[in-house]
Amino acid sequence: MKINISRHQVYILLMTLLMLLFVLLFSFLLLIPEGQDYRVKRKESRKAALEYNKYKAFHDQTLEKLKELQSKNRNIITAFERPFSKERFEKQNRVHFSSLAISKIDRAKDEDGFAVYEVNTTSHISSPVNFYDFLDGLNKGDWIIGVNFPIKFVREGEMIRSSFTMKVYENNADKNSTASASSAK
Amino acid sequence: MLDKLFESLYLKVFVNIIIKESSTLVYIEIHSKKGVLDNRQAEFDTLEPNEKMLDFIQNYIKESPFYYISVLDNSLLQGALPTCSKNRLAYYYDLSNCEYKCYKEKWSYYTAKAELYELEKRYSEIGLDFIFSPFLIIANFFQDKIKSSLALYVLVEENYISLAVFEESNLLYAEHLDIHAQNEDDEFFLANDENESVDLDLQESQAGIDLEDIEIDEDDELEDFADIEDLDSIEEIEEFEESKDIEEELLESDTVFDEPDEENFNEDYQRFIAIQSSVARYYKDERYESRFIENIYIADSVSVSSDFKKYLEEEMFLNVYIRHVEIEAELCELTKEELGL
Amino acid sequence: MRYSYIKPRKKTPFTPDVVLIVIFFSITIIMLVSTYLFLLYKDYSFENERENLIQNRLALEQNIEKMERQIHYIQKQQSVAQRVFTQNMVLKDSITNLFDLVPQRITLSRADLLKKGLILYGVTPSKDVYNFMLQAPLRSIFQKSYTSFYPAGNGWLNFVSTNYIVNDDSGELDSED
Repeated sequence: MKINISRHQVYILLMTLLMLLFVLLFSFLLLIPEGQDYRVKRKESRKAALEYNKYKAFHDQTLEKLKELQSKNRNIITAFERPFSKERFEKQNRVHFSSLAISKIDRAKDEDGFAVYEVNTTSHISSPVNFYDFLDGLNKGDWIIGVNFPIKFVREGEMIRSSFTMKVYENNADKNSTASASSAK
Repeated sequence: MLDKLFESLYLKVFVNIIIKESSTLVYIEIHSKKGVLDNRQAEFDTLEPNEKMLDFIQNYIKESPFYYISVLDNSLLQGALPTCSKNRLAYYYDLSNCEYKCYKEKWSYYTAKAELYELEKRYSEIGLDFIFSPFLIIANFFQDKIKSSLALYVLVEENYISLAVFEESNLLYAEHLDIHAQNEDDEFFLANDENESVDLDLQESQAGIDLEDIEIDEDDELEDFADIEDLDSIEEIEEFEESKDIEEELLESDTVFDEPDEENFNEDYQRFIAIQSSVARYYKDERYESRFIENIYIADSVSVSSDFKKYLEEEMFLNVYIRHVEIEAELCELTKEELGL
Repeated sequence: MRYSYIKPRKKTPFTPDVVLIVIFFSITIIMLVSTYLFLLYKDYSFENERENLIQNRLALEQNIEKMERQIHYIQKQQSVAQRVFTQNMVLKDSITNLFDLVPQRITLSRADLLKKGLILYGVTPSKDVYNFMLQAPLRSIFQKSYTSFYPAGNGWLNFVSTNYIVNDDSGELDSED
């Protein structure tokens, strides 16, 4: 039995098959791999986001900590920052003494990474109480200054001549300064 | 361009429908780019499209979306006029309800709009692409002759006759007639000639008398003599005398006439009458340029009898040239020309 | 139309069924292609996102490191300052203790406070007073204690008391060195 198919129907059939083929090829060769790629990339992106969030949280936490430290220790930080000024020191601490003079300022060896200046001081006090006040004031002063031995007290008439060495602690110029620059906010 | 590309990919199917007297002929040609691939035809005993016909056509249409259905206009109210200008057309005929087209800017052919709608409606199930006038068939079929000579060109269909007078590609006169509607024509003719209307019965009786005369005289010489005598008596009643002679001649020739032949004979006779009356009208009508017709070219689709030729030759003194025509093939040619193939 | 009374109908290979198929496949293909493009775009954006996140994370890492260095530094500052302050306080207490140690009847003319020692110069009414009132407490603090006397003018004795602490551990008093 011969089945007669018109040319038109043949064309339609061909076209349909072609389009179907295209759809199938496109789907399997392009679309599905791309879909898999999509899934993989999305997972990776999510992972990266997770990582980032973790870091962000930790970062914020650290920042908090830093800010807290900076605010709590503002005085100390500025004190380390402040270059030692003979005039200022004398002016500020004169109040405790009848006379106060800084004789020598030497740069000494760094301690704990901080620059240390040895400052020789001579002063006159009327009573040891002044010295105690001075020591109290020193802790609240503009600089980090520690009084060291040897301390000499010599009675001179009504006054006591006291001479002592102070160690002034300051930030070291290089990397520490950058750290302190940010702390100065 | 895209359309042209698509066209070249497909075959073309031409469906040509000729509506005959009591049947419809469907002729189908299938074309590829190179030429004709196949042709089929079938005749269906119906004037309206019936299921068989539609099935037949649908079977070939589905081959290609590029199918063209042409039909030959079978309206009675159609014709052709010698001019193309609108003003002049009105002089000949009122074309307010007609659709007309100009042929090569020389003459126009027309048909009633109502008839066109009717055709389209009748074939609405498959639809129509082209409707052609039979005058186009004439113009195409006889194009070589039309260019040169003056003649009367006739297309003979089963129930219609289309005739046109052409001189060097110019149409002088045209008419489209139903051969079965001849009584009116006869009346018109007779009235003009101031003759009494004579019944066909009378014709036959007179013919009977003549026959008797002939039977008596069986010599060739006497027969000729009888003819001459008859010719003398023609003066008063022209038409019928002539017809008498034709019948005599037919009987003289020893052919036996069967019933169908008689019908044929009748039809051919009516065709002849139609042509004759039409020509007479042509001569009479002052609107048309009169020329004396000497030649008649006939496109014959129904195989007219030799008597038809004889009638024309002897009664109208015309040189008769009959060419057989397959109207359905001609219609197909027209369609192809219309599409530029 | 040149010859025919009527115009032919438009012939197109796109019969209704063909049009349907074409539309169906067009829609399908459009959807596939747009999904594909969407996926391409998304892949690109995920890639970008991941890159960005990684970059940001690295930046954060660096920041964290920096901050931790800062924190560490501040803590160091804190500890040093604390040490210094404590030292100062301890010093104060020491001096206070020292001067409290000295009884009324003994007058100091000079005191040299050293890291591990103490040298006192002063005047005492008598040796006994000195031994009893000053030497004894000094002895309790300092391991080594020497005193030398030389007479002063008005029957009192000048004394020079040299005291040292001998300890293996350097103690809280951190001065030179």
